[in-house]
Amino acid sequence: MSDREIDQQLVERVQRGDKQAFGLLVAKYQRKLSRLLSRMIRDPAEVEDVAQEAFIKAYRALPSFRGDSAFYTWLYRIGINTAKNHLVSQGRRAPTTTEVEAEDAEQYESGELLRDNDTPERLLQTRQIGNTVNEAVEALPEELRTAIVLREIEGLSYDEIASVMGCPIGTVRSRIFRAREAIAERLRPMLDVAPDKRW
Amino acid sequence: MTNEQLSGWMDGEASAAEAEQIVKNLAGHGGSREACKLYWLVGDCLRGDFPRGNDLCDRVMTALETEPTVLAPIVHKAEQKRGRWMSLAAAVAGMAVAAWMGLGLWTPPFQDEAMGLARQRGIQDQPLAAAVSPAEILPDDRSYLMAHQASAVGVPMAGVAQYIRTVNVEQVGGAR
Repeated sequence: MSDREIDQQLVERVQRGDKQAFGLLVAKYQRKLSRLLSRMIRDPAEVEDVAQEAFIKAYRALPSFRGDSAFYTWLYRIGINTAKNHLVSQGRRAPTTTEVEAEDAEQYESGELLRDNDTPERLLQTRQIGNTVNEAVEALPEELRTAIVLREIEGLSYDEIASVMGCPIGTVRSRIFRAREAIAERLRPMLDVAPDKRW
Repeated sequence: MTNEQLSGWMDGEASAAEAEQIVKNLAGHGGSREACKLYWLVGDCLRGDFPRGNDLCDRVMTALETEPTVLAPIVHKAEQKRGRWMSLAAAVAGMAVAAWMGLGLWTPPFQDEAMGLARQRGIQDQPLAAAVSPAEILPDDRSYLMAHQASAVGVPMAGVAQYIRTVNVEQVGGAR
């Protein structure tokens, strides 16, 4: 089952009236969409507002989504159009689609996400999360670290990871889960700080 | 459903049946949904995509509370494919029937029985067109028919000229 099929499953749940399933799609794509929008809109607060508006528009338009394209491709178009409309309403020039796509094609280093106009609080928050994740990964046993890196960074399937690591698929599944849990455990306290500081 | 199964599903490693069950269970299990969100966050962070602001989930879900729930008919891929084939088959069948009738291969139902019965009763099997040929209409009759065409009973025929009316003339003992 591909990533696209997983999204389609969630979309069908939403189309049957399950709003919570839409919450999962928001959770999955909020950072990707925000990163895309931040290339058009510099103010992070505005990026959040536009991303929220894009998700709401997507929810309203979901009955007409038939899965001809991937959910994110569809959401991407809604996001771009929402951002353009926002910029036009603010009297600012909206970048052309070509400009956005050209930028999109580039590989971004994580450091580039830290924009000059991020507030010091946001910068600190981002750094703290980055450091926490890095420390958590370093603290993982070698076999868990290798498994999670091959999956999340290299994008290998369980079958491929099993071949690389020379172990059964069931072991790969277990290692990736344990690695995720270990990292998530370190992040949880940061998420519970305060409702307005959560992400 | 365990979080390990959930983790496998998120990586696209669950079977179709298992995936169906997991998605169903997610609807009524807040803890699993939270685990899902956290695992996606972990993945994004590992790829260097750190959260840069507040969590949009709560904001979007709060905003959606006032939205009517979306309900859409689910069109499955198999149905779409079958529908496409059915319409193609219907088009081919329609063309075949038209061609069959056009080539004169079609015989109206019971025509053979009716013709047999007519022959038994001594009714001549002759084409209808031969019963009244235009040559038998006298010039006077023709002018009479033309003059009375307006008062003739109209028989509208779908797809055929609506203005065509039929008139006939019958001579009884020399008088019309």
